[in-house]
Amino acid sequence: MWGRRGRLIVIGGALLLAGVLLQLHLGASPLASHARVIAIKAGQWRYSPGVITVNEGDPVTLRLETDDVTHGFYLDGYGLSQAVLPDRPVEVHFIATRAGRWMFRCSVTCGPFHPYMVGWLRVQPNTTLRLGWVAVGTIGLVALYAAWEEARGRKEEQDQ
Amino acid sequence: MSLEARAVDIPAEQTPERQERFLGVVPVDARLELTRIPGVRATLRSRWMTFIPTTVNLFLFLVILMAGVVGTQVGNANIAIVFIWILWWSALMLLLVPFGSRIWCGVCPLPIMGEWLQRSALVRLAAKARGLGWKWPKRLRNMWVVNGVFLGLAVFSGILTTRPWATVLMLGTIMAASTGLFLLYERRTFCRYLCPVGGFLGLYANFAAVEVRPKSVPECLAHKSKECILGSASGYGCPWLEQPTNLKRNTYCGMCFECFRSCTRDNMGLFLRPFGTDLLVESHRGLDESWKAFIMLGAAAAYSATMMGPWGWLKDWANLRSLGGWAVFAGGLAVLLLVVLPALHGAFAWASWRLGGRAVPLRRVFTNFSYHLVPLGLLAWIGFSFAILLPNGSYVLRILSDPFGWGWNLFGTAHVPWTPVLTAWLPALQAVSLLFGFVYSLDIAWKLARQTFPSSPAAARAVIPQIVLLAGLTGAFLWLFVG
Repeated sequence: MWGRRGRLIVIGGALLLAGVLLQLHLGASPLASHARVIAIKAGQWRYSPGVITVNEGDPVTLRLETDDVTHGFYLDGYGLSQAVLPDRPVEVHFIATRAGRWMFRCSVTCGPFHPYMVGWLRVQPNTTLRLGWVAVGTIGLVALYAAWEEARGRKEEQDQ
Repeated sequence: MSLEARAVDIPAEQTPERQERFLGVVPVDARLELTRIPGVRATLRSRWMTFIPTTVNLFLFLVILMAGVVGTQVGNANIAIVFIWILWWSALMLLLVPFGSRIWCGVCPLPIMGEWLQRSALVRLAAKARGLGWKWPKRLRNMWVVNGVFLGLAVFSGILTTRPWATVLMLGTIMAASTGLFLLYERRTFCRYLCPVGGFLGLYANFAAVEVRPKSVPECLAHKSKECILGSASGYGCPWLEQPTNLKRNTYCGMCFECFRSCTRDNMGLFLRPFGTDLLVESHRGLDESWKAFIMLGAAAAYSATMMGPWGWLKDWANLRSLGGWAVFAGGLAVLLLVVLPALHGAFAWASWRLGGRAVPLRRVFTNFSYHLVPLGLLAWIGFSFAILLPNGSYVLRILSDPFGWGWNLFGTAHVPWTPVLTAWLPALQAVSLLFGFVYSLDIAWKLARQTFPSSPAAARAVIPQIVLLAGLTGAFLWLFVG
C-alpha cells in the first residue's frame, strides 16, 4: 500500500515540479514590453473594451471617459481609483508590475447594476491561471494513474 | 471528549485502510460529539435558543421589507440588497452551509409566522396544531418543485439582486405563501418541499461538517414511543417530517433541534464530522437531487459570467434591458442548467458505465456520480461569494447607519467610503477554493465508484471519465475566475 502511495506521490510531485518549472521558465522569458495607451468608455453598466490585455512591465495609460452618468474606475491588485465625470475624460497611468487577471470595477454608484459593472485587465503572463491549470492537470493525471494502477493491479491479483 | 464511531453506508467489500478516510487522512466515521461540551445540550434544548434569533431575524426582515417599499431604490444604498445579496448570501455559502448545515433554516424568519399560527404559540409547547394538516402529495415529495421554483427565480436574478423592490417582492411572496401553506399543510411542508432556498441548502448540507443524529441507534429502535416523530410532553414531533431515529443525511434536517427537546432519553446529539460524509449515503438518492446539483453548478458559472464577467451584453440581457435579450438569457440559462450540464454528465456517466462493465444500471451510475459535483459546486459558489463580498462588503457599514438611504447616520458609519477589502487576493482565494473542491470531488467520485460498481477494477475503470469531467469543469471555472 505504501509502495503504491509512495509511487503516486513521487509521480505527482515530479509532474507538479515539471509544470511549475515550465511555468516559471515561460514566465521568466520577458514578453515584449512597450507603452500602451488604451481608451476605455464607461457606460451603464459596462466598460468598452471590457477586457484589456497588456504585458508585465508595460507602462499603461488608460484614457477614461463616460457616455452617460458619472462612473468610477478601481483596479484590483493595484489599488488605483479614479472618478470619471461626463464630458471630463481623465487618464490613469501605471506600470503593469503585477501579472495575472485583475478586475476593474466602478467605484461610484451609478445605478442598479453598479456592483457588477466590471472589466478584466489581463497582465501577461497570467501565472495564477497557469499554475492553477498545472495543479488541475497534475492532480488529474495522478488520479488517472492511480485509477489505472488500481484496475491493473487488482486484475493481476485476481489472475494470480 | 472522545471520537464517536458510527457506521456509514460503505460497501462491506471495501477495505478500511483504503476506503474509510477522506483524502486518505480523515476517517469517514470520525465524529466529535459537540453536545458533550458543557452547556451545549442545555442550550439546544431551550426553546428560547430558537425563538430569540428567529425573532431578531424576523425584525430584520421586516425592516428589509419596509426598505424595499419606502427606501431608496439605489441597490447598494438599501439594506434589502446589501443584507440579502451581499451579506446573507455570502454568509450562507462561506460559513453557514459548510460549517452549520441547514442552521439557517433553524432560525429563518420567512416561515416563522406560519409556524407560530399553526402552533398557536410562540415559545411554549402547544397541545394541538391548528390548520388543515394536509399531507403533501406523494409524487411531489422530492426536489423537483424547488428546482422549478429556484430556476423560475434564477432567470430574474439580474433584477432580483439589484432592485430593492424586486428582492422584497420575492421575500414577501415567500413569507405570505409559507404562512398560508402552514395553515393548509402539516408541519414544515413548505420548507421541505417548496422553499427555493431550502433546495440547495438541503443538497449542500450533505457536505457540511456537522450533523444531528441519534447517539445510539439501538436505543432509538428500542424506544417504542417515538417521541422525536410523534412529539412528547417536552417537544413537537420533527417539524421537518423526518424520522430522527433513522436520520442518515442532512438533506431535510432543518437544524431546529426539536428532537433534542422531544426525546426524553437525551439520545440525540450534535456531531462534528468530516466534510462530505452524507454524499456517501446511498439511500434516498434520486434524479431530483442530481438535477439540483447540475442547477447549482451551472448557476455558479452563469452568475459568475453575468455579474463578474466583462460582457456588457450579458449584463444587459440579465438586467432586462430588452425583452428579447432577457428571453435569450432566460432560455439559455434554462437550457444550460436543465439540458446541457445533465447531457454532459450523462455522456461521462455513460462512458463510466461502459468502462465499468455495464454490470449496474446506467441510471444508478448517472445518479450516484452526480453527487461528486457537490463539493466542486459548493466551492465554486464560495469562490463566487468571495468576489461578491470582498469588493462590496464595506456597503454593510454604511447601511447599518442608513438602512433606507434616507440620509440617516445612526452609528456614525453612513459616510464610510466604499472600500474594497483584500481584492488583491481574490484570484488566489478563488483558485484555492476551486482546487480544494476539485480534490474533494475526486475523492468523493472514487468512493462513489467503489460503492456503485461490484469490483475494485471496474470501479477504477469507471472513475476515469469522472476524473476527466471534474478536471475539465475545474479548468473552466479557473478560467472564469482568474483567466
